[in-house]
Amino acid sequence: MTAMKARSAGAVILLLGLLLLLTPWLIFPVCGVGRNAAGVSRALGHHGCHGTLWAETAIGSATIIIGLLPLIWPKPRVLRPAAWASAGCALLAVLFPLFITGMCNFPTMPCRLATLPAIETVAAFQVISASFILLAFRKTS
Amino acid sequence: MSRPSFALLLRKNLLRRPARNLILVLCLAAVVGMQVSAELIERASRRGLELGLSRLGADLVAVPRGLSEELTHSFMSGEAGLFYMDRSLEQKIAARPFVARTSTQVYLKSLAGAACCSAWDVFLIGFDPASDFTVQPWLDRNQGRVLGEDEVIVGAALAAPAGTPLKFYGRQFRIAGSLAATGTGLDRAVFIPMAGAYRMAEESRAKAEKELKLDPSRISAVMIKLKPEGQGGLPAFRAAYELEMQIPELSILQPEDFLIKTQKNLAGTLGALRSASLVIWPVTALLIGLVFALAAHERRRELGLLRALGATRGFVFRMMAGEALVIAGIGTAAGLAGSLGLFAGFSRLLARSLEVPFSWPPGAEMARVLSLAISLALLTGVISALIPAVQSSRMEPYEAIRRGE
Repeated sequence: MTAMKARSAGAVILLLGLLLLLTPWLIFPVCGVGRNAAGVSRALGHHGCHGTLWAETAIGSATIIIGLLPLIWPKPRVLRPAAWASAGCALLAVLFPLFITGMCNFPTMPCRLATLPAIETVAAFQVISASFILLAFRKTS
Repeated sequence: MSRPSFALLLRKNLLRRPARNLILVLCLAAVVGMQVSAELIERASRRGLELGLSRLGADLVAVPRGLSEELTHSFMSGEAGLFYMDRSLEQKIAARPFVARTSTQVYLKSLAGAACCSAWDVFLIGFDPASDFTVQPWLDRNQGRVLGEDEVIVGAALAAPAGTPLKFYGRQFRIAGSLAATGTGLDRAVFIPMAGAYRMAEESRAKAEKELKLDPSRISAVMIKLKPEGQGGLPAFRAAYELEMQIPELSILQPEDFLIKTQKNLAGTLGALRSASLVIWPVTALLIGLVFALAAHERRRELGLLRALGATRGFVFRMMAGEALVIAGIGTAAGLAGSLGLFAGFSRLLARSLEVPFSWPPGAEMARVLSLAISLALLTGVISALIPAVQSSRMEPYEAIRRGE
Protein backbone atom coordinates (compact mmCIF):
# COMPACT_ATOMS: atom_id res chain seq x y z
CA MET A 1 0.00 0.00 0.00
CA THR A 2 2.83 2.39 0.94
CA ALA A 3 4.64 1.51 -2.29
CA MET A 4 1.54 2.31 -4.33
CA LYS A 5 1.10 5.63 -2.53
CA ALA A 6 4.77 6.47 -3.06
CA ARG A 7 4.46 5.64 -6.77
CA SER A 8 1.34 7.84 -7.07
CA ALA A 9 3.15 10.69 -5.32
CA GLY A 10 6.11 10.23 -7.68
CA ALA A 11 3.73 10.31 -10.65
CA VAL A 12 2.29 13.61 -9.41
CA ILE A 13 5.78 15.15 -9.16
CA LEU A 14 6.62 13.80 -12.63
CA LEU A 15 3.41 15.22 -14.14
CA LEU A 16 4.04 18.65 -12.64
CA GLY A 17 7.60 18.56 -13.98
CA LEU A 18 6.22 17.70 -17.41
CA LEU A 19 3.81 20.66 -17.17
CA LEU A 20 6.68 22.94 -16.18
CA LEU A 21 8.69 21.71 -19.14
CA LEU A 22 5.84 22.02 -21.66
CA THR A 23 4.44 25.37 -20.49
CA PRO A 24 7.02 27.72 -22.08
CA TRP A 25 7.33 25.57 -25.22
CA LEU A 26 3.79 24.46 -25.96
CA ILE A 27 1.01 25.29 -23.48
CA PHE A 28 1.69 29.02 -23.05
CA PRO A 29 4.79 29.54 -25.21
CA VAL A 30 7.19 32.40 -24.55
CA CYS A 31 7.79 35.05 -27.22
CA GLY A 32 9.27 33.73 -30.42
CA VAL A 33 8.34 30.09 -29.75
CA GLY A 34 5.52 27.92 -31.10
CA ARG A 35 2.38 29.88 -31.92
CA ASN A 36 4.11 33.09 -30.80
CA ALA A 37 6.81 32.71 -33.42
CA ALA A 38 4.95 34.96 -35.89
CA GLY A 39 8.04 36.16 -37.67
CA VAL A 40 8.41 39.17 -39.88
CA SER A 41 12.10 39.13 -39.25
CA ARG A 42 14.90 36.73 -38.55
CA ALA A 43 17.08 39.62 -37.41
CA LEU A 44 15.30 39.95 -34.08
CA GLY A 45 17.62 37.76 -32.03
CA HIS A 46 16.46 36.49 -28.66
CA HIS A 47 13.77 38.02 -26.49
CA GLY A 48 14.23 38.81 -22.82
CA CYS A 49 12.29 35.67 -21.93
CA HIS A 50 14.55 33.35 -23.92
CA GLY A 51 16.79 32.63 -20.93
CA THR A 52 13.73 31.74 -18.88
CA LEU A 53 12.66 29.27 -21.56
CA TRP A 54 15.87 27.27 -21.10
CA ALA A 55 15.85 27.67 -17.33
CA GLU A 56 12.31 26.26 -17.14
CA THR A 57 13.31 23.47 -19.52
CA ALA A 58 16.14 22.49 -17.19
CA ILE A 59 14.05 22.81 -14.03
CA GLY A 60 11.16 20.86 -15.62
CA SER A 61 13.54 18.09 -16.72
CA ALA A 62 15.08 17.94 -13.24
CA THR A 63 11.60 17.68 -11.70
CA ILE A 64 10.73 14.83 -14.07
CA ILE A 65 13.86 12.94 -12.98
CA ILE A 66 13.01 13.64 -9.33
CA GLY A 67 9.50 12.25 -9.94
CA LEU A 68 10.96 9.13 -11.58
CA LEU A 69 12.96 8.19 -8.49
CA PRO A 70 9.97 7.21 -6.26
CA LEU A 71 8.44 5.42 -9.27
CA ILE A 72 11.54 3.22 -9.48
CA TRP A 73 12.19 2.99 -5.72
CA PRO A 74 8.78 3.48 -4.07
CA LYS A 75 10.09 4.00 -0.55
CA PRO A 76 9.39 6.83 1.88
CA ARG A 77 13.12 7.46 2.31
CA VAL A 78 13.30 8.23 -1.42
CA LEU A 79 10.00 10.07 -1.61
CA ARG A 80 10.65 12.54 1.20
CA PRO A 81 13.84 14.00 -0.32
CA ALA A 82 12.11 13.94 -3.71
CA ALA A 83 9.29 16.07 -2.29
CA TRP A 84 11.80 18.54 -0.82
CA ALA A 85 13.67 18.67 -4.14
CA SER A 86 10.42 19.19 -6.05
CA ALA A 87 9.53 22.13 -3.76
CA GLY A 88 13.03 23.54 -4.34
CA CYS A 89 12.56 23.24 -8.10
CA ALA A 90 9.23 25.08 -7.79
CA LEU A 91 10.99 27.91 -6.00
CA LEU A 92 13.65 28.07 -8.72
CA ALA A 93 10.96 27.93 -11.41
CA VAL A 94 9.50 31.17 -10.02
CA LEU A 95 12.80 32.86 -9.13
CA PHE A 96 14.25 32.51 -12.63
CA PRO A 97 11.56 34.47 -14.55
CA LEU A 98 11.11 37.01 -11.74
CA PHE A 99 14.69 37.80 -10.77
CA ILE A 100 17.37 35.84 -12.58
CA THR A 101 16.72 35.42 -16.31
CA GLY A 102 13.65 37.68 -16.45
CA MET A 103 10.89 38.15 -19.01
CA CYS A 104 10.18 40.70 -21.75
CA ASN A 105 9.62 44.25 -20.50
CA PHE A 106 6.16 44.84 -21.89
CA PRO A 107 3.13 43.35 -20.11
CA THR A 108 1.42 42.84 -23.46
CA MET A 109 4.04 40.31 -24.56
CA PRO A 110 2.88 36.66 -24.54
CA CYS A 111 5.47 35.64 -21.94
CA ARG A 112 4.20 38.17 -19.39
CA LEU A 113 0.56 37.71 -20.30
CA ALA A 114 0.37 33.92 -20.06
CA THR A 115 3.68 32.08 -19.54
CA LEU A 116 4.62 33.71 -16.24
CA PRO A 117 1.25 33.19 -14.49
CA ALA A 118 1.14 29.62 -15.83
CA ILE A 119 4.62 28.87 -14.43
CA GLU A 120 3.61 30.42 -11.10
CA THR A 121 0.47 28.25 -11.03
CA VAL A 122 2.39 25.03 -11.73
CA ALA A 123 4.99 26.00 -9.11
CA ALA A 124 2.23 26.63 -6.56
CA PHE A 125 0.81 23.16 -7.26
CA GLN A 126 4.31 21.70 -6.89
CA VAL A 127 4.73 23.27 -3.45
CA ILE A 128 1.23 22.15 -2.38
CA SER A 129 1.79 18.58 -3.59
CA ALA A 130 5.23 18.43 -1.92
CA SER A 131 3.68 19.60 1.36
CA PHE A 132 1.00 16.91 1.10
CA ILE A 133 3.59 14.24 0.38
CA LEU A 134 5.76 15.30 3.31
CA LEU A 135 2.71 15.34 5.56
CA ALA A 136 1.41 11.98 4.39
CA PHE A 137 4.77 10.23 4.70
CA ARG A 138 5.80 11.82 7.98
CA LYS A 139 4.98 8.83 10.17
CA THR A 140 6.31 6.11 7.93
CA SER A 141 9.76 7.66 7.64
CA MET B 1 -5.23 8.64 31.20
CA SER B 2 -6.02 12.20 30.15
CA ARG B 3 -9.20 12.96 28.19
CA PRO B 4 -8.63 13.48 24.47
CA SER B 5 -9.48 17.00 23.40
CA PHE B 6 -12.32 17.76 20.99
CA ALA B 7 -9.84 19.12 18.42
CA LEU B 8 -7.69 15.98 18.63
CA LEU B 9 -10.74 13.76 18.05
CA LEU B 10 -11.74 15.85 15.04
CA ARG B 11 -8.23 15.64 13.59
CA LYS B 12 -7.97 11.89 14.09
CA ASN B 13 -11.41 11.30 12.54
CA LEU B 14 -10.65 13.46 9.53
CA LEU B 15 -7.24 11.87 8.91
CA ARG B 16 -8.73 8.39 9.11
CA ARG B 17 -10.27 8.72 5.64
CA PRO B 18 -8.00 11.24 3.88
CA ALA B 19 -8.91 10.28 0.30
CA ARG B 20 -12.65 10.51 0.92
CA ASN B 21 -12.32 13.83 2.72
CA LEU B 22 -10.00 15.16 0.02
CA ILE B 23 -12.68 14.47 -2.61
CA LEU B 24 -15.23 16.42 -0.53
CA VAL B 25 -12.76 19.28 -0.10
CA LEU B 26 -12.07 19.35 -3.85
CA CYS B 27 -15.79 19.35 -4.71
CA LEU B 28 -16.45 22.24 -2.35
CA ALA B 29 -13.36 24.07 -3.63
CA ALA B 30 -14.65 23.67 -7.20
CA VAL B 31 -18.09 25.02 -6.28
CA VAL B 32 -16.69 28.00 -4.36
CA GLY B 33 -14.04 28.65 -7.01
CA MET B 34 -16.55 28.71 -9.86
CA GLN B 35 -19.01 30.91 -7.97
CA VAL B 36 -16.35 33.40 -6.90
CA SER B 37 -14.76 33.42 -10.37
CA ALA B 38 -18.11 34.15 -12.06
CA GLU B 39 -18.84 36.95 -9.58
CA LEU B 40 -15.34 38.41 -9.91
CA ILE B 41 -15.39 38.34 -13.70
CA GLU B 42 -18.79 40.03 -13.82
CA ARG B 43 -18.02 42.69 -11.22
CA ALA B 44 -14.49 43.38 -12.51
CA SER B 45 -15.76 43.82 -16.06
CA ARG B 46 -18.61 46.07 -14.89
CA ARG B 47 -16.17 48.20 -12.92
CA GLY B 48 -13.72 48.27 -15.83
CA LEU B 49 -16.47 49.37 -18.17
CA GLU B 50 -17.65 52.11 -15.79
CA LEU B 51 -14.09 53.41 -15.49
CA GLY B 52 -13.47 53.13 -19.22
CA LEU B 53 -16.66 54.95 -20.17
CA SER B 54 -16.13 57.67 -17.60
CA ARG B 55 -12.71 58.29 -19.14
CA LEU B 56 -13.69 57.92 -22.79
CA GLY B 57 -14.24 61.66 -22.81
CA ALA B 58 -16.25 61.64 -26.03
CA ASP B 59 -20.05 61.56 -26.23
CA LEU B 60 -19.92 59.81 -29.61
CA VAL B 61 -17.30 58.17 -31.78
CA ALA B 62 -17.57 58.21 -35.58
CA VAL B 63 -16.01 55.38 -37.61
CA PRO B 64 -16.36 54.23 -41.23
CA ARG B 65 -19.81 52.84 -42.03
CA GLY B 66 -20.37 49.31 -40.71
CA LEU B 67 -17.17 49.18 -38.65
CA SER B 68 -18.51 50.04 -35.19
CA GLU B 69 -17.98 46.42 -34.06
CA GLU B 70 -14.29 46.68 -34.95
CA LEU B 71 -13.90 49.78 -32.80
CA THR B 72 -15.60 48.24 -29.75
CA HIS B 73 -13.40 45.16 -30.24
CA SER B 74 -10.26 47.34 -30.32
CA PHE B 75 -11.22 49.39 -27.28
CA MET B 76 -12.12 46.28 -25.28
CA SER B 77 -9.29 43.97 -26.27
CA GLY B 78 -6.50 46.43 -26.99
CA GLU B 79 -6.02 44.78 -30.40
CA ALA B 80 -5.68 47.33 -33.15
CA GLY B 81 -8.56 47.65 -35.60
CA LEU B 82 -7.18 48.88 -38.88
CA PHE B 83 -9.82 50.86 -40.73
CA TYR B 84 -9.66 54.23 -42.39
CA MET B 85 -11.89 56.95 -43.84
CA ASP B 86 -11.40 60.30 -45.49
CA ARG B 87 -10.20 63.14 -43.24
CA SER B 88 -12.74 65.53 -44.81
CA LEU B 89 -15.50 63.72 -42.92
CA GLU B 90 -14.33 65.43 -39.73
CA GLN B 91 -15.27 68.81 -41.25
CA LYS B 92 -18.73 67.50 -42.10
CA ILE B 93 -19.22 66.34 -38.49
CA ALA B 94 -17.85 69.56 -36.98
CA ALA B 95 -20.24 71.59 -39.16
CA ARG B 96 -23.33 70.11 -37.41
CA PRO B 97 -24.85 72.70 -35.05
CA PHE B 98 -25.12 70.27 -32.12
CA VAL B 99 -21.41 69.32 -32.19
CA ALA B 100 -19.14 71.23 -29.80
CA ARG B 101 -15.70 69.70 -30.52
CA THR B 102 -14.14 67.02 -32.66
CA SER B 103 -10.76 65.34 -32.61
CA THR B 104 -9.37 62.81 -35.07
CA GLN B 105 -7.52 59.57 -34.35
CA VAL B 106 -5.68 57.13 -36.58
CA TYR B 107 -5.20 53.47 -35.60
CA LEU B 108 -2.08 51.45 -36.33
CA LYS B 109 -0.45 48.25 -35.11
CA SER B 110 3.19 47.57 -34.31
CA LEU B 111 4.86 44.69 -36.13
CA ALA B 112 5.13 41.25 -34.54
CA GLY B 113 8.51 39.58 -34.31
CA ALA B 114 10.34 42.56 -35.78
CA ALA B 115 13.51 44.10 -34.39
CA CYS B 116 12.28 47.55 -35.45
CA CYS B 117 9.43 47.47 -32.85
CA SER B 118 9.92 47.49 -29.07
CA ALA B 119 6.71 45.55 -28.46
CA TRP B 120 4.61 43.33 -30.68
CA ASP B 121 1.11 43.92 -31.95
CA VAL B 122 0.65 47.01 -29.83
CA PHE B 123 -2.36 49.18 -30.57
CA LEU B 124 -0.84 52.50 -31.70
CA ILE B 125 -3.25 55.42 -31.62
CA GLY B 126 -2.29 58.54 -33.48
CA PHE B 127 -4.05 61.57 -31.97
CA ASP B 128 -4.00 65.30 -32.54
CA PRO B 129 -2.61 66.93 -29.36
CA ALA B 130 -3.97 70.36 -30.37
CA SER B 131 -7.63 69.31 -30.61
CA ASP B 132 -7.52 66.27 -28.30
CA PHE B 133 -9.93 66.13 -25.39
CA THR B 134 -9.94 62.37 -24.74
CA VAL B 135 -6.33 61.34 -24.09
CA GLN B 136 -4.36 64.14 -22.42
CA PRO B 137 -6.86 64.95 -19.65
CA TRP B 138 -6.14 61.46 -18.26
CA LEU B 139 -2.37 61.77 -18.07
CA ASP B 140 -1.30 60.72 -14.57
CA ARG B 141 0.56 64.02 -14.33
CA ASN B 142 -1.05 66.60 -16.55
CA GLN B 143 1.97 68.27 -18.04
CA GLY B 144 0.24 71.30 -19.52
CA ARG B 145 2.36 71.29 -22.66
CA VAL B 146 1.90 70.08 -26.21
CA LEU B 147 3.69 66.81 -26.97
CA GLY B 148 6.55 66.73 -29.42
CA GLU B 149 6.56 64.49 -32.51
CA ASP B 150 8.81 61.94 -30.85
CA GLU B 151 6.96 61.78 -27.53
CA VAL B 152 4.30 59.21 -26.73
CA ILE B 153 1.81 58.56 -23.98
CA VAL B 154 1.36 54.94 -22.87
CA GLY B 155 -1.61 53.15 -21.33
CA ALA B 156 -1.47 52.12 -17.66
CA ALA B 157 -0.46 48.53 -18.42
CA LEU B 158 2.63 49.73 -20.27
CA ALA B 159 3.58 52.35 -17.71
CA ALA B 160 7.30 53.05 -17.63
CA PRO B 161 9.27 56.06 -16.35
CA ALA B 162 9.12 59.21 -18.46
CA GLY B 163 11.98 59.32 -20.92
CA THR B 164 12.02 55.53 -21.49
CA PRO B 165 12.81 54.94 -25.18
CA LEU B 166 10.34 53.05 -27.37
CA LYS B 167 10.81 52.06 -30.98
CA PHE B 168 8.05 51.52 -33.53
CA TYR B 169 8.70 50.94 -37.24
CA GLY B 170 12.31 51.89 -36.61
CA ARG B 171 11.47 55.37 -35.27
CA GLN B 172 12.60 56.20 -31.74
CA PHE B 173 10.05 57.70 -29.35
CA ARG B 174 10.29 58.67 -25.69
CA ILE B 175 7.58 58.08 -23.12
CA ALA B 176 6.25 61.46 -21.98
CA GLY B 177 3.72 60.09 -19.52
CA SER B 178 1.29 57.30 -18.78
CA LEU B 179 -2.48 57.29 -18.51
CA ALA B 180 -4.40 56.34 -15.42
CA ALA B 181 -5.78 52.76 -15.56
CA THR B 182 -9.18 52.29 -17.21
CA GLY B 183 -9.40 48.50 -17.22
CA THR B 184 -10.09 48.57 -20.97
CA GLY B 185 -7.86 47.55 -23.86
CA LEU B 186 -6.71 51.18 -24.07
CA ASP B 187 -4.48 50.45 -21.08
CA ARG B 188 -2.34 48.46 -23.51
CA ALA B 189 -2.25 51.14 -26.21
CA VAL B 190 0.42 53.67 -27.09
CA PHE B 191 -0.73 57.18 -28.03
CA ILE B 192 1.43 58.91 -30.62
CA PRO B 193 0.98 62.52 -31.77
CA MET B 194 -0.53 62.45 -35.27
CA ALA B 195 2.47 64.23 -36.82
CA GLY B 196 4.81 61.64 -35.28
CA ALA B 197 2.66 58.82 -36.61
CA TYR B 198 2.77 60.17 -40.15
CA ARG B 199 6.53 60.77 -39.84
CA MET B 200 6.97 57.21 -38.60
CA ALA B 201 5.06 55.95 -41.67
CA GLU B 202 7.22 58.08 -43.99
CA GLU B 203 10.44 56.78 -42.50
CA SER B 204 9.27 53.16 -42.23
CA ARG B 205 10.31 52.36 -45.80
CA ALA B 206 13.95 52.92 -44.83
CA LYS B 207 13.96 52.04 -41.13
CA ALA B 208 11.37 49.31 -40.61
CA GLU B 209 11.35 45.71 -41.69
CA LYS B 210 7.95 46.24 -43.26
CA GLU B 211 6.69 49.52 -44.64
CA LEU B 212 3.81 51.23 -42.85
CA LYS B 213 1.43 52.60 -45.45
CA LEU B 214 -0.42 55.54 -43.98
CA ASP B 215 -1.94 58.26 -46.11
CA PRO B 216 -2.12 61.64 -44.26
CA SER B 217 -5.55 62.23 -45.80
CA ARG B 218 -6.95 59.15 -44.01
CA ILE B 219 -8.10 58.88 -40.39
CA SER B 220 -9.68 56.04 -38.40
CA ALA B 221 -12.14 57.73 -36.04
CA VAL B 222 -13.51 61.08 -34.97
CA MET B 223 -14.14 61.67 -31.26
CA ILE B 224 -17.18 63.91 -30.84
CA LYS B 225 -18.13 66.15 -27.93
CA LEU B 226 -21.74 67.39 -28.08
CA LYS B 227 -23.02 70.76 -26.95
CA PRO B 228 -25.08 70.74 -23.76
CA GLU B 229 -28.78 70.27 -24.50
CA GLY B 230 -29.64 73.75 -23.23
CA GLN B 231 -27.14 75.33 -25.64
CA GLY B 232 -28.32 73.86 -28.91
CA GLY B 233 -27.13 70.31 -28.23
CA LEU B 234 -29.00 67.05 -28.68
CA PRO B 235 -29.20 63.90 -26.57
CA ALA B 236 -26.45 61.45 -27.63
CA PHE B 237 -28.83 58.93 -29.23
CA ARG B 238 -30.53 61.65 -31.26
CA ALA B 239 -27.23 63.18 -32.35
CA ALA B 240 -25.97 59.72 -33.40
CA TYR B 241 -29.12 59.20 -35.49
CA GLU B 242 -28.84 62.64 -37.11
CA LEU B 243 -25.16 62.11 -37.97
CA GLU B 244 -25.75 58.68 -39.47
CA MET B 245 -28.65 60.05 -41.53
CA GLN B 246 -26.78 63.14 -42.74
CA ILE B 247 -23.38 61.52 -43.37
CA PRO B 248 -23.99 58.04 -44.77
CA GLU B 249 -20.26 57.16 -44.79
CA LEU B 250 -20.27 57.01 -40.97
CA SER B 251 -21.32 54.68 -38.19
CA ILE B 252 -21.71 56.38 -34.82
CA LEU B 253 -20.95 54.66 -31.54
CA GLN B 254 -22.54 55.56 -28.24
CA PRO B 255 -21.26 54.49 -24.80
CA GLU B 256 -24.15 51.98 -24.56
CA ASP B 257 -22.63 50.07 -27.49
CA PHE B 258 -19.64 49.19 -25.30
CA LEU B 259 -21.96 47.95 -22.56
CA ILE B 260 -23.86 45.73 -25.01
CA LYS B 261 -20.60 44.36 -26.42
CA THR B 262 -19.28 43.57 -22.91
CA GLN B 263 -22.48 41.79 -21.92
CA LYS B 264 -22.44 39.81 -25.16
CA ASN B 265 -18.80 38.78 -24.71
CA LEU B 266 -19.31 37.73 -21.11
CA ALA B 267 -22.61 35.88 -21.53
CA GLY B 268 -21.10 32.54 -22.58
CA THR B 269 -18.36 32.38 -19.95
CA LEU B 270 -20.56 33.51 -17.08
CA GLY B 271 -23.35 31.17 -18.19
CA ALA B 272 -20.96 28.19 -18.30
CA LEU B 273 -19.40 28.96 -14.90
CA ARG B 274 -22.73 29.54 -13.20
CA SER B 275 -24.45 26.50 -14.69
CA ALA B 276 -21.51 24.24 -13.80
CA SER B 277 -21.52 25.59 -10.28
CA LEU B 278 -25.31 25.14 -10.01
CA VAL B 279 -24.95 21.51 -11.09
CA ILE B 280 -21.99 20.72 -8.81
CA TRP B 281 -23.43 22.48 -5.76
CA PRO B 282 -26.38 20.12 -5.07
CA VAL B 283 -24.27 17.10 -6.06
CA THR B 284 -21.63 18.16 -3.51
CA ALA B 285 -24.24 18.71 -0.81
CA LEU B 286 -25.67 15.26 -1.54
CA LEU B 287 -22.19 13.72 -1.53
CA ILE B 288 -21.33 15.27 1.84
CA GLY B 289 -24.63 14.00 3.30
CA LEU B 290 -24.00 10.52 1.89
CA VAL B 291 -20.38 10.35 3.07
CA PHE B 292 -21.34 11.44 6.57
CA ALA B 293 -24.24 8.96 6.65
CA LEU B 294 -21.78 6.21 5.66
CA ALA B 295 -19.23 7.40 8.20
CA ALA B 296 -21.86 7.45 10.93
CA HIS B 297 -22.88 3.90 9.97
CA GLU B 298 -19.26 2.67 10.00
CA ARG B 299 -18.55 4.35 13.31
CA ARG B 300 -21.65 3.20 15.20
CA ARG B 301 -19.62 1.07 17.62
CA GLU B 302 -17.09 3.82 18.23
CA LEU B 303 -19.82 6.42 18.78
CA GLY B 304 -21.66 3.99 21.11
CA LEU B 305 -18.46 3.49 23.11
CA LEU B 306 -17.94 7.25 23.29
CA ARG B 307 -21.49 7.64 24.64
CA ALA B 308 -20.95 4.76 27.10
CA LEU B 309 -17.77 6.50 28.33
CA GLY B 310 -19.80 9.59 29.14
CA ALA B 311 -19.91 11.64 25.97
CA THR B 312 -23.18 13.54 25.73
CA ARG B 313 -25.49 13.59 22.69
CA GLY B 314 -24.44 17.19 22.17
CA PHE B 315 -20.76 16.15 22.09
CA VAL B 316 -21.41 13.51 19.38
CA PHE B 317 -23.48 15.99 17.37
CA ARG B 318 -20.82 18.67 17.69
CA MET B 319 -18.14 16.21 16.64
CA MET B 320 -19.96 15.19 13.44
CA ALA B 321 -20.98 18.76 12.59
CA GLY B 322 -17.46 19.96 13.41
CA GLU B 323 -15.95 17.48 10.95
CA ALA B 324 -18.30 18.77 8.23
CA LEU B 325 -17.43 22.35 9.14
CA VAL B 326 -13.68 21.68 8.95
CA ILE B 327 -14.05 19.98 5.53
CA ALA B 328 -16.22 22.85 4.29
CA GLY B 329 -13.75 25.39 5.70
CA ILE B 330 -10.74 23.81 4.00
CA GLY B 331 -12.68 23.43 0.73
CA THR B 332 -13.78 27.07 0.89
CA ALA B 333 -10.26 28.30 1.62
CA ALA B 334 -8.86 26.21 -1.25
CA GLY B 335 -11.58 27.42 -3.64
CA LEU B 336 -11.06 31.06 -2.68
CA ALA B 337 -7.27 30.83 -2.89
CA GLY B 338 -7.50 29.08 -6.26
CA SER B 339 -9.99 31.46 -7.84
CA LEU B 340 -8.35 34.63 -6.49
CA GLY B 341 -4.86 33.41 -7.41
CA LEU B 342 -5.86 32.40 -10.93
CA PHE B 343 -7.85 35.60 -11.40
CA ALA B 344 -4.91 37.73 -10.26
CA GLY B 345 -2.48 35.86 -12.50
CA PHE B 346 -4.55 35.46 -15.62
CA SER B 347 -6.85 38.52 -15.49
CA ARG B 348 -4.97 40.28 -18.31
CA LEU B 349 -5.09 37.19 -20.50
CA LEU B 350 -8.77 36.70 -19.62
CA ALA B 351 -9.60 40.33 -20.41
CA ARG B 352 -7.83 40.03 -23.72
CA SER B 353 -9.40 36.75 -24.77
CA LEU B 354 -12.92 37.63 -23.57
CA GLU B 355 -12.55 41.17 -24.93
CA VAL B 356 -13.91 42.79 -21.82
CA PRO B 357 -12.52 45.54 -19.62
CA PHE B 358 -11.23 44.41 -16.23
CA SER B 359 -10.65 46.38 -13.07
CA TRP B 360 -10.59 44.90 -9.55
CA PRO B 361 -13.78 45.76 -7.67
CA PRO B 362 -13.38 47.98 -4.59
CA GLY B 363 -12.55 46.31 -1.24
CA ALA B 364 -16.05 46.52 0.23
CA GLU B 365 -17.57 44.87 -2.85
CA MET B 366 -14.90 42.15 -2.79
CA ALA B 367 -15.55 41.53 0.90
CA ARG B 368 -19.29 41.13 0.20
CA VAL B 369 -18.65 38.61 -2.60
CA LEU B 370 -16.16 36.60 -0.54
CA SER B 371 -18.23 36.58 2.65
CA LEU B 372 -21.31 35.43 0.72
CA ALA B 373 -19.33 32.58 -0.88
CA ILE B 374 -17.80 31.57 2.47
CA SER B 375 -21.18 31.59 4.23
CA LEU B 376 -22.86 29.56 1.48
CA ALA B 377 -20.08 26.94 1.40
CA LEU B 378 -19.94 26.54 5.19
CA LEU B 379 -23.72 26.29 5.38
CA THR B 380 -23.72 23.68 2.60
CA GLY B 381 -21.20 21.57 4.52
CA VAL B 382 -22.97 21.79 7.87
CA ILE B 383 -26.55 21.39 6.58
CA SER B 384 -25.59 18.38 4.44
CA ALA B 385 -24.13 16.61 7.48
CA LEU B 386 -26.99 17.64 9.76
CA ILE B 387 -29.19 14.53 9.40
CA PRO B 388 -26.35 11.97 9.95
CA ALA B 389 -25.10 14.08 12.90
CA VAL B 390 -28.56 14.17 14.53
CA GLN B 391 -29.10 10.42 13.93
CA SER B 392 -25.69 9.55 15.40
CA SER B 393 -26.28 11.66 18.48
CA ARG B 394 -29.69 10.03 19.09
CA MET B 395 -28.38 6.44 19.10
CA GLU B 396 -28.52 4.60 22.42
CA PRO B 397 -24.98 3.51 23.48
CA TYR B 398 -25.84 -0.18 23.98
CA GLU B 399 -27.72 -0.51 20.70
CA ALA B 400 -24.97 1.36 18.82
CA ILE B 401 -22.22 -0.93 20.21
CA ARG B 402 -24.24 -4.09 19.50
CA ARG B 403 -25.19 -3.06 15.94
CA GLY B 404 -21.68 -1.94 15.20
CA GLU B 405 -20.19 -5.34 16.05
